[in-house]
Formats: sequence, structure tokens, C-alpha cells
Amino acid sequence: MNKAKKKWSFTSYCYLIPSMLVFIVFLFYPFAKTIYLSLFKTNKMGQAKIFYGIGNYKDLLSSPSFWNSMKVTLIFALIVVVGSMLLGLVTAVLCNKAFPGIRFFSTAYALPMAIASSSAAMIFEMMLHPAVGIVNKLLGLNINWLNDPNTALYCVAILTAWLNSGINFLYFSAGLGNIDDSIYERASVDGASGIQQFFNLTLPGLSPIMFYTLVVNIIQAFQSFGQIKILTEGGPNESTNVIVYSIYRDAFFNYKFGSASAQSVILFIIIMLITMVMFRIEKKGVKY
Amino acid sequence: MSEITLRNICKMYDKDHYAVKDFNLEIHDREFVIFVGPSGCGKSTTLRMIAGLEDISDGELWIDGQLCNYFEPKDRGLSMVFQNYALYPNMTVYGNLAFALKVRHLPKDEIDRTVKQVAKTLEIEKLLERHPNALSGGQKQRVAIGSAIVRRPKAFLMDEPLSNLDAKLRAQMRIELAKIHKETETTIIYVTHDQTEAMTLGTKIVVMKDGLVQQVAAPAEVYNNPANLFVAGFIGSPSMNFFKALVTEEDGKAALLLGNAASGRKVFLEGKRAQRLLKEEKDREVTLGIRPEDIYEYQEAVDGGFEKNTVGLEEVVDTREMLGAEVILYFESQGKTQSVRLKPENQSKPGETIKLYMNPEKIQIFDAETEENIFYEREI
Amino acid sequence: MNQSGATVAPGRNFYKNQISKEELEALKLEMNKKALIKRRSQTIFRLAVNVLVAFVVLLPLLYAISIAFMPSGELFSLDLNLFPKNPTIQNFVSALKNVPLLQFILNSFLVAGLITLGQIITCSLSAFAFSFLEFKGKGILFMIVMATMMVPGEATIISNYLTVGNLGMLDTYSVLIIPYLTSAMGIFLFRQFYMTFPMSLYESAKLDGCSNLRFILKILIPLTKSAIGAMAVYTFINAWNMYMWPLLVTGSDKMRTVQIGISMLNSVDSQSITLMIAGVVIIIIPSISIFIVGQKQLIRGMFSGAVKG
Repeated sequence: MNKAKKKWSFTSYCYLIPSMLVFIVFLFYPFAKTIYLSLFKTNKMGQAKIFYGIGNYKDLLSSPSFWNSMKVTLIFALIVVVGSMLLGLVTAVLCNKAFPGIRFFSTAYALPMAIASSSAAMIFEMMLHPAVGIVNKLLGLNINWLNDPNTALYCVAILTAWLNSGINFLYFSAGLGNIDDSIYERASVDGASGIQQFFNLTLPGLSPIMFYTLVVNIIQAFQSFGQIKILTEGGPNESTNVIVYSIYRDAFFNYKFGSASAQSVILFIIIMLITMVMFRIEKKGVKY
Repeated sequence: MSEITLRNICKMYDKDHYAVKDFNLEIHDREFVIFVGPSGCGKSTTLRMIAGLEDISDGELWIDGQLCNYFEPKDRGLSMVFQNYALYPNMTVYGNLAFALKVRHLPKDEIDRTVKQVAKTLEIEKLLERHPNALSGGQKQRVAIGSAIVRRPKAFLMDEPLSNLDAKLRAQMRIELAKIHKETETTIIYVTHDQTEAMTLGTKIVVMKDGLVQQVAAPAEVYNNPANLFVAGFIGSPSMNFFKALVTEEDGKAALLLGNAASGRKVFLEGKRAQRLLKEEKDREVTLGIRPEDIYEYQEAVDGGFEKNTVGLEEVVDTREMLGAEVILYFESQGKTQSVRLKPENQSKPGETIKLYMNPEKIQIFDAETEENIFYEREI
Repeated sequence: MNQSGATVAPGRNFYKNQISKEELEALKLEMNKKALIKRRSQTIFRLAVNVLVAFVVLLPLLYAISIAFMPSGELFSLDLNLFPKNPTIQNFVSALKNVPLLQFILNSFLVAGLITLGQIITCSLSAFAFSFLEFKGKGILFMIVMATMMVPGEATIISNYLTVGNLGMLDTYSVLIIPYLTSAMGIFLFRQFYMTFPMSLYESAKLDGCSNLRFILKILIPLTKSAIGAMAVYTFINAWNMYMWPLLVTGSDKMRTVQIGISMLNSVDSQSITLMIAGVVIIIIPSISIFIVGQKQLIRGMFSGAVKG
């Protein structure tokens, strides 16, 4: 019996081997190596040369550029998360009841999720073009949106919110679908108006999925890269230099692999903290 | 005080398809009205039209003499208990009970007082801080009823409220509901597919089929004086036995031949009932209906003073169900399973032949085509 | 006969004894008409709001399509030119001529397709083990897999780049594909699905002499078509849209994926915006097509199990 059980276990692990191999080689090992590199000064080939301890972190924490990119990242994430979730929620509510054409509209609202950040960035680049872009033409303005430190960040953030709204539409639609229709019927007999129903039933009914969506959105916002690389390359004046772009630039342009690794580790810690805090809040807040 | 009148209420989903047709009903104050029928008969649709959850295609709905067809659900002054309870999952029991009052902007202390009082009546005071998903089926049921009561509505509408409970709880809640009806002194309109619930709870039963009202009457009345074959078969468990029979005249009596003449299985009817039967159905085939408890063991019946002139049935017992206070024997006749309810002392076993006696006074006769009960007395 | 309590309907009230039959009929007719108008206007309102919002959401795409057909001279005017006056397909032709877009598309299809296939295989195998088999450390291993979802790609991308560089794997298909051959999300999704099946399904198959692999192929996979469909659509789109990794590890036109290749149009010369947009439209078509075709699958599969908890 014992022997049989052991053999049983061994074959069990076999099914995990393909996934685990990929995880080990391309996730655990490099993650450990990133932490390792973050403690060193590296040469141009990315080899760890001089042990620097927490020096990279110290340098970062005293660098205004790092704090700027933290600030930029936070503002960026805030706009993206609020914007994309609001857009997703509004569109999902709009498609909550059957009406002619609902299939077309729900496809339209989910569509941004199928569009690559680079493609979207190039479309927005054209729309925001100072001379021929439709935005300036429509608004009758003459703003160089992407080259103005005051506007560039908002532009890339709105673009990202638009990109991420598609999947949020799907999440919220699923959440609305999970709300039992009969509670709306009861509420209408009970005398609740449409607005009262929305705030007393719909929003609370969405809260479990709202939470999940929020976590996913925050993580996703923190990792936006393609659109920033194409549209602003972190500029102008570092006004769009989000942490991921800063990592990319430090590693592959400045060859400061150690510092870039340290930033990666900080990014990981931030994401982990946010996730953990969110789960803690959920356990306390959502009781049903 | 509440009077609800439904006049020629219809529900059409498209031009020719009626879900409910010409529904007429007077509901008086404090009545416990049951809509009963098989699924798809339009009973829930009718209830939802009264509630305002479905549009009324045609006809008039009067509540307290006021035309309510076009009132919003909230303006009809009714409250509803749903089959799946429809409790608000994000609110506590307290919140659920208070919701209908809160949205009407009643003062807080008044809400609090009412909620606590209702919770006390229903014995759910200890659950007030819980969320619905932490409640058992029976507790959810109480909360659902409680949220309907708090508003002191003109009438409660209940859509199969007990169908999600297990048998024991259902029986218990039935008693509870009867008690609540008495205590709150409110009209209840109640939808069910379960004829036992209909019989035990209702003061008035509306039997429906295919969108049409079949009969409206008190439970005993529906049981003893069914309007047609459907009502007779639907109400009662085990259900009424039906036999094809030919109506003939013998010595001024009406003789009902079950099977061919040679078999000699005959039942005689006398007096007024015979006259009526012969007048309407002589030499025609009809459906004879008799309830299981109105068939007796032959010898016992004769000993008990029933006239001997009826030739009884001789049947082979298929199955025997001992229920303690009674025994039910099933047998096959005319290709259908029939049943008879006898005293528990009866010892007949499957495979044995038993001689039975039908009480002619209790026989109902249904026209073969219209399926109407010939003996149905419209007003008693 | 009085209206009781708080329930006074808006408008006129009618009482049984105060209304004649004709009045009643007229009233019913009028009210039915009103109800119909109300219902219709609600639908129209809903439709109108949807048209408006959908227009805003789709605006970038619609505008891009419009520009793609616009001769480049037309764009450079100060007028508000939403639609091309002389539509042309010249932009598409030049875009395809200027950069090897077809090669890029082919590369992307190959990479995204193989990643999708690979993820389905590895994820269903792992999910099978996590849901039907018993072995030591199962709980911990599963926790570890789930925890990987928290590690941002950026935390590994530098080291991965250095690793594959040292291995001399840069600028190959395998370097684009292999790191993405599994995903925690996929394992989670499949496991969530498998958990809905009773253990007895597996046990009875075992009793019938069904091997594990056979069980996966003949029973699990057919039963989880919708989850696989969802996963396939989601993975393919994400792989098609991948940006940072291909940017780092591909150098030659032969290996470049569309998302990287398309930026070559961006830099060719700034005057050729229309050409660039035509290229963008070309490369958006495959991912959007797959999305539209697979949307139903995606919704059904993604949300029937995964998101509820």
C-alpha cells in the first residue's frame, strides 16, 4: 500500500513538470536573480561585479528622479483605474437589460481589450497630432498634447483607461448577471425607485467582483509600458516616466542593471502590498 | 379593508397566445385565496399582474374600488413573497426587514419599532444582525415573510413560497402561515402547484389550467363538487379514479356499465342523480369518477347497510401501501392505475383479488367531450 | 372606497362606481397607448445612450479606419476632415511594401498560436493534478503557483533577457515562445472548472481502467471546451499584443512580431501618418476578428467559474 502510494505520487508530479519547469526557469530563477542583481553594481553585460548591498535601494530612495517616477506612476494608476472602471461600469449597466442591438453594443464595449497597446498608442498619436489631429481640430485648440509636460501624462493615462475598459466591461457584466433578478422585482414592489435600486442593490451586488476587478486593474495599470514607450518615452521632462519605463530605460539604455533590478523589486513589493491590503480589506468588508 | 377584483384579466405575449384568459375573481377582505394548477397554467403570471410586475394585456384590476391596471408596483399597496425569497444579499436581516420602510423615508425610530415587532412575531429577533447567506431555508422564509409584513400591505402576494423547503419544514411553515394570516388579518393571495397546500391553507381556491380558471370555490367544495374532470383529478391525493362507463337504463335506474356488458361490472344510480344522468347522457359513454376513500371493501359495505344491488368490482391488487391509519391498494383497471383507501385491518396482498364496492352517492360523472361534471352544482 | 395610506398613483384616480363602461374602455385604450409609448421611449432612450457611448468608445478605431483610407495629402489640411473625400487603398499597399508586415503577421500568428496551444496543454495537465490527484505538498505548490500572479513581468524581464542573451537565444522564435508556455491564470481557471466535477467522475473512470492521460484527453478536455475556448481567446489576444519582451529579444525583421514591427512605420517618416494608420488597421484585424468570433466563448468560459469567488 505504502509503495503504491509513493508511485502514485511520483506520477502525480509528472503532470506538473511542464508548468513548473517554465515557472522555475523563467520566473523563480530570474526573480531570484533580479533580487541578487539589485544588490550589486553591474557591468554593461549585466554581470554582477561589485557587491553594493542595499546601496542601489539607498541611491534610489534619495534620488528625486525615482520619487518623481513613483509620483507619476501613482497619478497614472489612479487615473487609469478610476477611468477604466467607471467606463466599464457605465457600459455594463447600459447593456444590463435586453434591447435591440445589445449584441453589437456589448461587442463594441469589450472591443478595446482586443487592441494592442502599441496599435492604440499609434492611433492616439495621430488623433493627438498637434497640426492634423482630430482632438485639436474638434476642440479648436493648438496644444501639443504629448510634448507638453502638463498634458502628456493625462493623455497616456486616458488611452490606457480606454484600453483596459474592455475587460472591465466583461467583469462587470458578469457581476451584474450574477445579481438575482427577483430582488429587483421585490424592490419595485417594496417601493424603491430606480436610483435607490442602483445604490442599494446593484452597486453592493457588484462589490465582490468590483474588488477583484480593482486588484487586477491596479496591477495592470502599474505595468503599462508599450503606449508610454511609443508615445512619450517617459518624457517630456520625465512627466510620464512611470516606474516600468524607468526600469526599461535604466536597464537597456543606461545599462544600470543593478538599479533597474532594485526598482523591479520595489515594484514587486508595491504590488504585493496592494494585493495583500486589498485582500485584508475584502475579508473585513464583504460579508456575503 | 381591502377588496381586489379581477375582471376579464388577460395576458397575451403575442396575438394568439394567451397565457391567461378572462380571469374573473372577487377577493374579499381577509380571504386566503390560492391559485393552484400545474406549471404553466398562468397562476404565477396572474399573481405578477396583480403585483404590477407584468403588464395586464386586457381586463381590469380593481383594488379597493380603484382601477390599478396602470399603477406602478409600489403604488398598489401590496407586498410580495417570492419563491426564492429574493432577500437582499448585501443587507442584514434587519436591513431586509427595514428596506421597504426606509425607501419610503419613514422616521428611523418608527422603522426600528416596526422591524423589532415583526421580528418578534416571527421569532427571528436573534437573527437581525445576520446576512441572508448565513440563514437556513426556513429562516430565510421567515425573513421574506417578515419583510412583506412590515409594510402592513392591503394584501400579501405569495409565489410558491414553500416550494424550496423540505417536506417537514413545509408542513411546519404551513401551520405558521395559517397563524400569520389569522394574526395579521390581511388578505393573502397565494400561488402553489401543490394541492395539499391549497387544500390546507385556502379559504378560497382558484384552480387553473392552460390560462383558464377551472373552478373557484372553498376547499371542501372543490373537493366534493369539482366542476370538471381536470379539477377532480388535480385536487386530492391519491387522485380520483376514473373509469370509462356506458350509461344505460335498467328498471328506471341508471346503470353504468364498466367494460362490456358480459363482464357484469355495473354501478347503479338512483333518484334525482339518475334522472339527471339519463336525461343528459343516456346510451353515451361518460367518465365515472370516484375518490379512493369512496370505494369500500364489498362485504364490509354490504354489512354496513349499503344496498346490495350494485355489482362490485373485482380487481387484482398490484401494490399495497401501508400508511398506518389507512392502507392504500393500487390496482390496474381499464389500463390505468386506480387506488382505493381502506381500513388498515384489510389484509389483501399484491396478487390477490379483492371485491370492491363504489358508493353510488359519491360518484361523479363527467361528459366525455366537454369533461364537465354533470352533477356539478354551480351555487350551493 | 378610499385610497388607503401612501399609495396614491400619479394622475387621476378612478373608482368602480364612478366610471361608465364607455369611459373605462376609452381610458384603457388611452392608457395602453401611453404604456406603449412609455416602453418605446424607454427603449429608444436606452438605444440612444448606447449609440452615443459606443460611438465614443469606438471613436479611435472608426477614426483610424477612416484615416487609413485617406490620401495623405488630404489629412494635412486645417479643415475638420473626418472622412476621406477620395478614399484610396494606396496606404495599405504602401504600408505592406514599406515594411514586411506580412512577415510580422506570420511571426505573430506563429508565436501567439504556439503560446496558446502550449498554455492549454501545460495548464490543463497541472490543473488536472491539482484537482484530481493527491500528492505531498499539493497545497503549498498551488499556493506558490498562485503567488506568481503577483510577480510583475518587469521583475523578471531583466534577468530573463540576460539569461537568454547568454544562451545565445536572442532573435529566435523559441525565445519568444518558451517563457510564456504556462500561466498561473490558466491553471487557476482550469482548476476552477475541474473542481465543479465530482471526484467520482475520476474515480469511476479509474475503475473502468482509464489511464490519467486518457481521462484528460477523453473526458476532461471535451467537458471543458468552453473554458479552453475562453482561455484560448484570451491567451491568443494577449500574446498577439505582447510588447516589451519581443521588443527586447528580437532584432531582425525575420523575427519581429507585428507590435514591434508596426513601430517601424512610425519612424519611417513623420509625414506618412496615413500609411502608419493603415498598417495599424491591418494588424488590428486579426486580433479583433479572433475576439469577435471567440467573444461568446470568452464570456461563458471566463465567468462561469473563475470570477465568482
